[in-house]
Amino acid sequence: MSSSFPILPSHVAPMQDAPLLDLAGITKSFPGVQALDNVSMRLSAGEVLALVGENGAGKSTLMKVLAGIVQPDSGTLRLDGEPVRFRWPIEAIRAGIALIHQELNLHEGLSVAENLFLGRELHCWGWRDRQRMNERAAEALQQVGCGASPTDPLANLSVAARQLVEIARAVSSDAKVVIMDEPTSSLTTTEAENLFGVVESLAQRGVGIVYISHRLGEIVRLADRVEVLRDGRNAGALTGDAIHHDAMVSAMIGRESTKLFDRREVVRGEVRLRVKDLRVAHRQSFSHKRPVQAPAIEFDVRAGEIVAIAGLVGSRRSELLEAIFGLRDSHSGSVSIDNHELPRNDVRSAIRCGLALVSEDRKATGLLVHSNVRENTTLASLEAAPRSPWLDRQWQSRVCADSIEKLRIKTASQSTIVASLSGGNQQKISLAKWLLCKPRVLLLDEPTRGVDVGAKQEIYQLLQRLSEQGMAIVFVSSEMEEVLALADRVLVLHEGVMRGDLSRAEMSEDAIMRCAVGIESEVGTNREQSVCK
Amino acid sequence: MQIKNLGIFALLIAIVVFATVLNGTFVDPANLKTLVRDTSLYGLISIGVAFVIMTGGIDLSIGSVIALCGVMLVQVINIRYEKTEYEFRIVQTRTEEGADGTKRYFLQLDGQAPTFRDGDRLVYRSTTGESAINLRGEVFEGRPGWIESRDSLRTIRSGMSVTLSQIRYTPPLIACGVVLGFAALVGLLHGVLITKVHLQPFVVTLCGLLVYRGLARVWTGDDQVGLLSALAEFKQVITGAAFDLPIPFIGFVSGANPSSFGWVWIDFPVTGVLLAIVAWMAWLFLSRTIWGRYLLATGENEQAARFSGVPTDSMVIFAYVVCALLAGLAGILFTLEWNSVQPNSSGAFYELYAIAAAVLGGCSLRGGRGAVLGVIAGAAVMRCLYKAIVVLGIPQQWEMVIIGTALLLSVVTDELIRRYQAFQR
Repeated sequence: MSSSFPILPSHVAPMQDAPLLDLAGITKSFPGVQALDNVSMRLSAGEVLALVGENGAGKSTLMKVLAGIVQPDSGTLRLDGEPVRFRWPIEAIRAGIALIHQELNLHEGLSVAENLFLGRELHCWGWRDRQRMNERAAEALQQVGCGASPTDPLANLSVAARQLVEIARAVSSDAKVVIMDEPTSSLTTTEAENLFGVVESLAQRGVGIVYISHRLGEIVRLADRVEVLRDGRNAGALTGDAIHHDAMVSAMIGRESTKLFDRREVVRGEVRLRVKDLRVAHRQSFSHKRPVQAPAIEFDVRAGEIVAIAGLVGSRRSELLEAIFGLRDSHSGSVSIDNHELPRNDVRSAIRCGLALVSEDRKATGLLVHSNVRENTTLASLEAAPRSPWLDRQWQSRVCADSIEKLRIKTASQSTIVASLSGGNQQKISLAKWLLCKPRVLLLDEPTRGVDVGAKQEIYQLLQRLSEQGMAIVFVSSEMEEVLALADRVLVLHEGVMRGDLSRAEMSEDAIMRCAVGIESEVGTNREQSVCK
Repeated sequence: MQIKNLGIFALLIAIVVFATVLNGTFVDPANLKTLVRDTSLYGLISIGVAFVIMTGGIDLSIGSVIALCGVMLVQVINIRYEKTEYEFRIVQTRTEEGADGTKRYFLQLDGQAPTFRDGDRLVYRSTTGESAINLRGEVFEGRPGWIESRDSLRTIRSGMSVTLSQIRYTPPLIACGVVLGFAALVGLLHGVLITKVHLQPFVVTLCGLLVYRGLARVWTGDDQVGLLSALAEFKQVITGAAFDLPIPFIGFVSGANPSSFGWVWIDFPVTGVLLAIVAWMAWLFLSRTIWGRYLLATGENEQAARFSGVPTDSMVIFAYVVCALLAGLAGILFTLEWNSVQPNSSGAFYELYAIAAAVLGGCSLRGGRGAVLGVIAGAAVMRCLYKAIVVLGIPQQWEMVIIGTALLLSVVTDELIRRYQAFQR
C-alpha cells in the first residue's frame, strides 16, 4: 500500500489544535481586479476570528468563497481536516457553514419559523410539519435571546431582531462555522451589546465565528484573533493583547498615516447649491404606498467646495442625492443652483440648470452597459449638442475621443461595449457623460466603488481639478479614508436626519462615526447643534 | 449594417430563389405585385410594433385596432342615397366592348340634372319591385347628354321612367383623418396607462385586443360592412399602382417575357410608396435624431436612461402612439383593399404576424435593439413564405407551421451566432 493521502483513519484522534477550518492559498480574480491573492486563514472551534480590512480588501470575496457563492481560481479549503470544494451555496450550508449577509437574507412575507427553515423545511411525507418547526424555532430563538415568537410575521420585526433570526437560523441548522458580515452596522448600542453576548455564547458552545466589521472597538472587545487583509492579501494577524486599535489600523492601511489623497483647499466662492427644508420621500415617485413623513434637510455648498455625505447603510444618503437631482419625490423644500430654484421632480430641467448625478450602481442606473462607449458618453448631453435634435455623429465621435483622452479611459475603440470594460473605466465613462453637460454642481454616489487603485487616484485628481474650476461637488461615500482625504466638509446622516456638519478641522473617523450611529456628538460645534436640534 | 440584418436578407433571397426554382410563376408580375402590396401592408404594422418592442414593450391590440378602424372608416364615410325629384325617361342605351373584352354601358336621358356623379343611382320599378343602376358619371368626350353606367343595362328598356337618387358620403380624406385621430388616441391611452399608471404593456394591450374587437362587432351588429361600389376612384387611387417598376431577367423565369433581358414591368402599388415613406421617416427618427437614441436607451435600461435625463415616459407613449397610428393606417388600407370589413375576423392575429416580422428583423423583445430595414425584410420573409406555400401547392393548413418553424429557426440561429461571437471575444 502506497497510500500517503493525509486522510486519518477514524480511530486516530485528530490533533489537539487541528483547525476547524483551514484555507490555504486562495486566489480569485475578476475581470480587471485581483480580488484575492494567495490568502490563507485558519479558524478553530470555539474561536472568534475577526476579519478586517479596508473596503475592497477582499473580505467579502473570501467569505463568498467560504459560502460556495464564488469559486476560487486556486487554493484549498479544509473543513475538519477534510479537503472540501463547494460548487454551490447549498453544499456549504450542508457542510455547516452559515453566512449572515450584511443585507439580511430574509423574506418579509413569511413568518419567523418559515424563514428559519426556508429550504430545509421539516416535513412528514411532503407535508410541512409546522408544529415541529415552530417548536424547534422557539428553541433556537431562545438560545440567541430573541424575544420574537416563531409565528410572528417577519415584517413586524426590527432590524436587530431580524439579525438574531438569522443567527437562530444558523444555530438551528447546527452550523459549525458562522460568518457575520457587519452585523452591527444598523444596530443601536444596546442591541449590539446583546448581539455580542450571543456571539460569545455561540463560541462557548464550540462554534467557530468569523466576524467581519469596520468597527474596531467591537473587535477589540470580541475577537480572540484578528486576521487583516489588504488588497486581496494577508497583511498580518494579531492575537490576545496585541489586538488594539492602532495595530489594526496600521496593518489595514499598511503604512503609517499616509494619506489616500492630498486635497488642496480651494478658495471658496459664492453659494452654488442651496438645499432648503428638503423632505425626502421614502419611496420613489411611482410607488403606490403613501410616503412616510421625513425630516427636513438643509445645507449649502459653495463654489470650489467638496462636501461629503457620510452615514451608515440605511441612512438614506443616496436617496438624498436622488431627491436633490429630482429623481425622487420630495414633500417640501427647494433646491437652487446659483440662486435659481429648480422645478421639483424634474430631472431634465435639473440637468439643464447645471446639476449632474453620477449614480452608485453603474449597471442598473449609471450606464447602458450593452451599448458602446460613444453612445454612453454622449447620452446626457445629446440635447445640448450643436445640431440637436438631429443626431450629429461627427460631434459624438469628436467629444467622445476628447473625453477618452482627457479622462484616460482605456478602451479599444469608441464602439467597444461598455460591459466589457473594467470598473474604473466604466466609472470614468459615467463621469465623462456628465462632464460633457458642463455641470455647475456635481453629485457623486460612491464615486470609487468597484474601482481599482490607479483609477481611484485619477478620479480624486479630477475632482480636485473640477473644484479648482469652481464646481461645487457633493459626494456620498462609505469609505472613511475617502471622506477624510477628499472632503472640505462632511455632512453625516443617521436614518435620514442630518446629525453632523463637520469642517475639515473637526473631521475624524471617530467624530463621523459618532454622528453616524446617532450618538450626540462631542465635537459638536454651533453649526452642528443648530442642525441636530 | 449589422451582420444580423444581413442574415434576414439572406433568408429572404434564399426563400425567393428556392420558390422560383421550384415554380417559376413565383416571380410572375401579378404575383410580385401582390407580394409588394402585402409586404407593404404588413410592413406598416411591423414597423409600428417594432417601435414598441424597441422600448421593451409589446402591443397585442394591432389586429383589433385594424378591425375597429376599418369599421370606423366605413361608418364615418357613411354611404347613403337621397331621392331627388328629378325624373327622366330613358331615350336609348348602348353597350360598347373594348379591345380587352371589358364592356362599357351608356344611356341617354330625356332631361338634364344639375350633375350626375360617380355613385349616383337611377331607381326604376321592375317586375321584382324597386331596382337601381349605379352610374359612373357623365360622358363628355363627343357624346353630350350621355351618361355612363357601371351596371349592365339588360333590364333597361327605352321609354322607362327612372328617378335620380344621389349618393351622399363624408369626404374620404376627412374620414381617414378621423380614423387616424382615433388610432392616435388609442395609442395615447395605451402609453399613459403603461407609463403613468404603471400597468404592464402585455395586460393593457391584451385588454385592448378584446375591447376594440368587441366594439367593432357591437357597432355593426356583427355584420359585414363595406364600401360597396361607391368611392371607386378613391379606392383606385389608394390601392392602385403608383408607377411601373421595371425588373430585369425575371421575364425568362416566369415566361412572361423571353426576350433579350427579360424585362418585366410590375405595377408598384401606392401602398408600397406609403411604406417607403413611413420607413424612411422611421429610419430618420431612429438613427438620425436624438430621440431615436432616447427610444433605444429607454428600451435597453429605463432606469439608467431616466437617470441620464432621458424623457422615458414620453418616449414610451410616443412608441405606442406610432404603433396604433400605423395600425390605424393599415386598417384603412386593408379596408380599401378588401372593400369590406368582417368585424369578427378581419385583422385577427395580425399583431402576431407583426411581432414575428419585427423579431425576424432583429428586434429583441427585451428592448433596446432593432432596425427598420430589417423589420421590413422580416415582413417580406413572412409574405414570401406564405406566397411560396400557395404557389408551390402546399396545403394552406401548413402555413402557420412553416412560418412558426422559420421564426423559431431564425431566432435560434441568431442566438447561436451571438454566443459564438461572445465566445470569440
